[in-house]
Amino acid sequence: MTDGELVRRTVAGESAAYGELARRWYYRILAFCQARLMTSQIHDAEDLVQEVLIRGFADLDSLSNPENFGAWLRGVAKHVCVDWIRHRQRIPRIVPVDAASADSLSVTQTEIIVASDERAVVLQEIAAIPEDLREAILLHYYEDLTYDQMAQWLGVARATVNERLARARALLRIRLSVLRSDL
Amino acid sequence: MNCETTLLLMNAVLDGELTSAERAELDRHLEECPTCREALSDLQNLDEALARALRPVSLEPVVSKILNAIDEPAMRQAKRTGHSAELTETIARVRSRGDGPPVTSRRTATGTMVLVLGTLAVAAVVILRLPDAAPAVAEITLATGSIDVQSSNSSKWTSVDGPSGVVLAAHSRIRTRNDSLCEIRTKSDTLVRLNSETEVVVHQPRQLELISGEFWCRTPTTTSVEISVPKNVRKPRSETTFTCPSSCETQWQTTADDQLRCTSVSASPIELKVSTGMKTSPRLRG
Repeated sequence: MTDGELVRRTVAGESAAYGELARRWYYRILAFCQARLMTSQIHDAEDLVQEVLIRGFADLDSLSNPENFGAWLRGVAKHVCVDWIRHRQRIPRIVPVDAASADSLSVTQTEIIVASDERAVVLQEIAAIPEDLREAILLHYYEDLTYDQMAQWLGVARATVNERLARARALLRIRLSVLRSDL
Repeated sequence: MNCETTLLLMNAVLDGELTSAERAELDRHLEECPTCREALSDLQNLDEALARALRPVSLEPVVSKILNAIDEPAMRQAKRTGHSAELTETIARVRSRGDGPPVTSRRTATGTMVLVLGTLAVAAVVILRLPDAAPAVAEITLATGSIDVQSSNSSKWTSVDGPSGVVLAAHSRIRTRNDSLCEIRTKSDTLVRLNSETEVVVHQPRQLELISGEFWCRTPTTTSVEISVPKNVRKPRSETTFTCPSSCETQWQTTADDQLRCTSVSASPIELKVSTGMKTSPRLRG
């Protein structure tokens, strides 16, 4: 069933159809929000995704082309993130220090931390890389999209997707190696 | 082909995005280049770790939560009227429900982060706890860059490279540098975030002192917290203690001319109780 059909069913009162839209777009919106919040605290991003989807439902009547639901929801997410960031700007935030760069360190062997809390460590390091790389890497692993699908969602060229993933992995390779060497 | 262009191809091969011609080209280079072979092995390890860490989980709990929210009468009203108070209230209720986010609960996530930081810093953990008299009152849950910590029974500053799981005894002093920040959680669940170049003393879980700089503080939901400033801060002119009510967010700053500035970050106004040094209770607005 296409997005357009699900939107029309939702508008007609079939809330289960909106559940399907939520499942379909959840991780793409999560990657979007998580990339913009600059936080390793994933629950903040998850809260925002829920807010995006609820606001999306409330505003569904303003969606002129139901087939364009994904891109439209991305616009809703942008507004929700901006509101959240404006609110948080009044608070001193923990800003990741991006000391390592692909050019400044030479790493010959990457040892990946395999502890049970690996997820939190990885999220923390992802939060410290640039926003465009962050979204690409999250999107790739959450959704397993092809380069063409990612390019369409992000609005960039296919080669740019390849480049962003390569740069993100290069930075994470170094950051996780440095972390490992500190133990 | 050089090693730089190979990097893009190595990433593409990991993602299953290479054509057969590109794959053959990459294989030829790898046969000749041990450095790139090693790099590819590293990338494969990283790819597996990222895939494990970012593995999607079932969305059913969160989808149920969203469907419950949109089925509420208030949401139907909000849908009819566009952005409205009803919508805001509905979102607030969804956020405040105890069933937690879908992947991991907030409490679990926080606990995991503390555990992670503690684990990572095994070699660097500094327990600034006096032998018997001073129990732990707080923990540094997050630090970016190097920070300095001083226990109450010593004049020596200990440098800690964050992130770190440092346990703080009563009256410990924490100082961030011009390029570092840190977060402290006291035993009473007070959360404090120090901006750069800030010095704070954690006297007790509910008693903090701002020496200089700027910090944000969120008090626990069940109890108040006392924040004092030293005498050298000219306004107020004497040592003063402010009692912040429960469940409030405030931002405290000593300015370059030694004045104190406090701003409420809470959504609603709060009342600060001042125990000495000032005659009236200032009313702060968010």
